[in-house]
Amino acid sequence: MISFPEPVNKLIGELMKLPGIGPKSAQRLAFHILRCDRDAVVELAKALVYAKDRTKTCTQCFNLSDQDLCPICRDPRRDATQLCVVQDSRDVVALEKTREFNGLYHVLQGAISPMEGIGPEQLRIKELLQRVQASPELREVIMATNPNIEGEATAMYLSRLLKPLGLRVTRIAHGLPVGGDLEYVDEVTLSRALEGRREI
Amino acid sequence: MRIVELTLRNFRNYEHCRLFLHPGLNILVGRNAQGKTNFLESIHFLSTGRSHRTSNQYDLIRWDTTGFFLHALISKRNIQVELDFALSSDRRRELRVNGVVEKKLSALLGVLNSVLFTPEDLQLLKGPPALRRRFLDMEVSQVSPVYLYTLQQYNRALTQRNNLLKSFQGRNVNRVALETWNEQLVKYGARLTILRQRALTAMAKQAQPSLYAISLGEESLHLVYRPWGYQLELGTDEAEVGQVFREILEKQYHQELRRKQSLVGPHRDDFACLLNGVDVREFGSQGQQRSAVLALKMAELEFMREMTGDYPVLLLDDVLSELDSFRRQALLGLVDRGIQTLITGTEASLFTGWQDKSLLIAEITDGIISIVD
Repeated sequence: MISFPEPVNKLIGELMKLPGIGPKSAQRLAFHILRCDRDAVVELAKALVYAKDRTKTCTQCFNLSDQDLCPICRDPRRDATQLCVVQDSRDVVALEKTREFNGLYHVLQGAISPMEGIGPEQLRIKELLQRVQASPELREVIMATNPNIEGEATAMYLSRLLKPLGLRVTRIAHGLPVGGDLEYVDEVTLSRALEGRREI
Repeated sequence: MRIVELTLRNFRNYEHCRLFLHPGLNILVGRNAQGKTNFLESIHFLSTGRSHRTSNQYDLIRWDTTGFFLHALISKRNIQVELDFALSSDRRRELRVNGVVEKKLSALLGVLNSVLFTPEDLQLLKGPPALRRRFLDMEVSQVSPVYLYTLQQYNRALTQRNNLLKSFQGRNVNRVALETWNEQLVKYGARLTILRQRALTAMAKQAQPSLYAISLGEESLHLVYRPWGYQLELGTDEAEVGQVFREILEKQYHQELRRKQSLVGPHRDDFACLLNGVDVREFGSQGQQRSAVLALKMAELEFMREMTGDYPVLLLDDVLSELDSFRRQALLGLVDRGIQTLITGTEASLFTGWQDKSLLIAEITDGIISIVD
């Protein structure tokens, strides 16, 4: 990288700090940026700063938001009897795309993982409990954490805390993808689907 | 199952080597340190995704080169499968099954099954329980993706739980968090226990006839599963094992908090080989231990055939010199059952009496293989 002028090296260096961007991609992006109009580059720079300055987490559900309360928490038409607990803001977007769920969310901002030093204190669990206790209309809490071992442990941990409060605590199902053929599903997924079978 | 063709590039001491293998017996002769074991290692690596000699894959790259490449053409009941594996020193890995890139290393398992027998395996019964657990895990994982998944999940839960135990300071114990991880440990641990018991029961059925073939038929051999500190009855279901596991964890609570690690569970499993009702580990003679290990390996072959419908490839690394002529003949008998076998030895004279079979003899010198007529 010695052959590039110092400002270009600086740009490549910053881009390389981004996830999934290695030296080659960083170089390609940097050269693309250099080829752009100055206006376009200014727009990009502004957008970066704007996004960073204007986003905060919703004070109620900890989803990303541009106001104190996110659009979902502000919406009076949402069903306050159901609360869906997820790990990440991206999970909220994924669930919203289904248009099937009309309740509220709570974003934990991670999952319990002692290996990485993430305990209940590092997550928005205390806030969840306070919120649940302050919501008399709430009937059901749906655990939509990831179906891996940390997500399962987090869901179980929360259910241990929430069940004594007299709530219905549920876990989303996992198993076969819809629209696929059984023969293409891997053995592990299939065995888990078999395990979670239901009477029809 | 058999390997039709194998290519090694920059693997260990092989710069480039391409060999068409015989469907039956393949004898590789060479002096020490010429690359006999390396050749078998490449096959075992393609079948399990790891080396039996090193935990660092990068050790497999030939000195002063940037990466190795392995290719195998495999024939399974007349269906051909191609397997490619490349690893470069800048940590890039590419696995292809029939030309299709597979991201997960576990996609390798089951494509090429092999059973490896080395002189170190003679330690299997004498050595610590970890060796026997490894034997069981490697073998069953090759034929059962569900076993491998359960094992990985269990190990993950175990690591998480150990980290949690270490994070507790003094009286500051989050019991709900610990119980949450107990549940994960119990869930996968109980399943793993059942799967291990099932595998050992299936293998035990094969071990007796195998022993019969290599001893004079006077001895009886039993495999007994010894799971983490309790007697498991045949036919116990997962829920019952889970309940026992939970109770034992409860009893160990204070001890585990003091030691800051998980003290019970399948990571402490063991199994015993009983020869005429006596544990070979403690009372067996050298000869009996050898017979038992050999019977175990032969049982492994039969077990894999039962699970997959096909014999795996048998890799025998320098074991002939460790066996007497009677047991050598027994090994030779395996080839007659249609098992593709690769066997190494330092001298051609070890294979006297084998020449009447149709076979391939190759000589290995400094990473170069030449076929002997």
